[in-house]
Amino acid sequence: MHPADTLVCQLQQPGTYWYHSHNKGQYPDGLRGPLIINDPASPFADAYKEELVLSVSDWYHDPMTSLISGFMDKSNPTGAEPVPKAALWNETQGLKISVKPGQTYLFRVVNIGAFAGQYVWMEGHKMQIVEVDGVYTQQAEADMVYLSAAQRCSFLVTMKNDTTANFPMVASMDTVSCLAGGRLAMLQPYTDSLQSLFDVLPDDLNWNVTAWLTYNDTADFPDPALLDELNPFDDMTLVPYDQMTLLPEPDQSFELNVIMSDLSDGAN
Amino acid sequence: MVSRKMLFLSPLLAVIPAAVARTITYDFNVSWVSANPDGQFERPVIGINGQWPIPTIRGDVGDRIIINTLNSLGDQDTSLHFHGLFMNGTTHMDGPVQVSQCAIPPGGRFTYNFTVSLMHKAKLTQLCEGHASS
Repeated sequence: MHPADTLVCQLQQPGTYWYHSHNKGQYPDGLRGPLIINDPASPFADAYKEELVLSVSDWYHDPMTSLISGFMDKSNPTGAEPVPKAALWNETQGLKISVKPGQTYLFRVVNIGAFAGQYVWMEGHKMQIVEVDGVYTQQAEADMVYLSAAQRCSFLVTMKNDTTANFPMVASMDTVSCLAGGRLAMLQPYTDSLQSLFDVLPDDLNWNVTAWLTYNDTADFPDPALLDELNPFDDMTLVPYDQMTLLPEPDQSFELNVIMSDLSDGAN
Repeated sequence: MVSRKMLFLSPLLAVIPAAVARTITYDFNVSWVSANPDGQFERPVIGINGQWPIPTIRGDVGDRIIINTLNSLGDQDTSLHFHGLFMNGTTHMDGPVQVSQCAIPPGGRFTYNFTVSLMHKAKLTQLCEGHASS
């Protein structure tokens, strides 16, 4: 290595994480929250003025002890997960996020749910992705992102220079399939055996939750526009900030097959 | 070559301001509280220090985080896991019950104590060598 070469090593773990109970599927009863490791030396430190930490989650009315006993039971051989009752932003609904015109914010978003992946978008605003799961990325523009349960995404958003309107920020639970973007093509041979993620869709289930970028407390808080199609950013195209090259072909590989099946007592 | 490793380890270690790293202590009393976040149904939820949603944990790179945890649930065990953190050298603080630790029983206490997160020197060398050779 020459003296002029730069060396980038990820010594530490800055970024967006979360913490939760790890006892018997307990955390969806509420013991879950964001964990933020701040980095004064972030490559994006000068790109924003303020940081906003947001969670998205699914929500159940029954306690996890009863949901799990029903889930892992011989009466549920296909392993159908219990369908949530609602979606939440920051463990609530009706969230209003005050924003200043012209200011650039870093949004750190974490999916702390039990089960549901969520599509996330902001009407009228573009997202510049800068971090996923604790790894800085080359900046990438997105209109919509998809977060599986436990995933995180941080993105920069520059607010409009206009305080006359407020804008919906939507999180929408994935009721159908986690096959977002280009991954659908990869799994085409297996689509016959796929079932919807939410096995039932009750009539009273609202799988969306709306928050608002609030420029003006006295302006309307409009309902989000209904979308016919969801086109999330393909995160397989993200490039790590340090542009580390891919590892070469392996010298040895091992095949491990994971299957879902039923136990001898009939539980899935 | 040993000398090359020393050459690029030392400036890196020099930029880590060890004197600036803090210890951040949380006291978490885990107990049931009541909440109705969707406006449809009031139900028991697991809060910390009588509050739900629970607090956001914050630190800077290099800080030590200490969480003094008391399980006041009464009817369930508990534990805490820090999703995404490598817990290098502190896997006994990682949280999965029957994997990294025994559960914290009702009335029990457990102190989580870890640093976010200075990688072990050997691992640092492997990473740096990977870059140096590319």
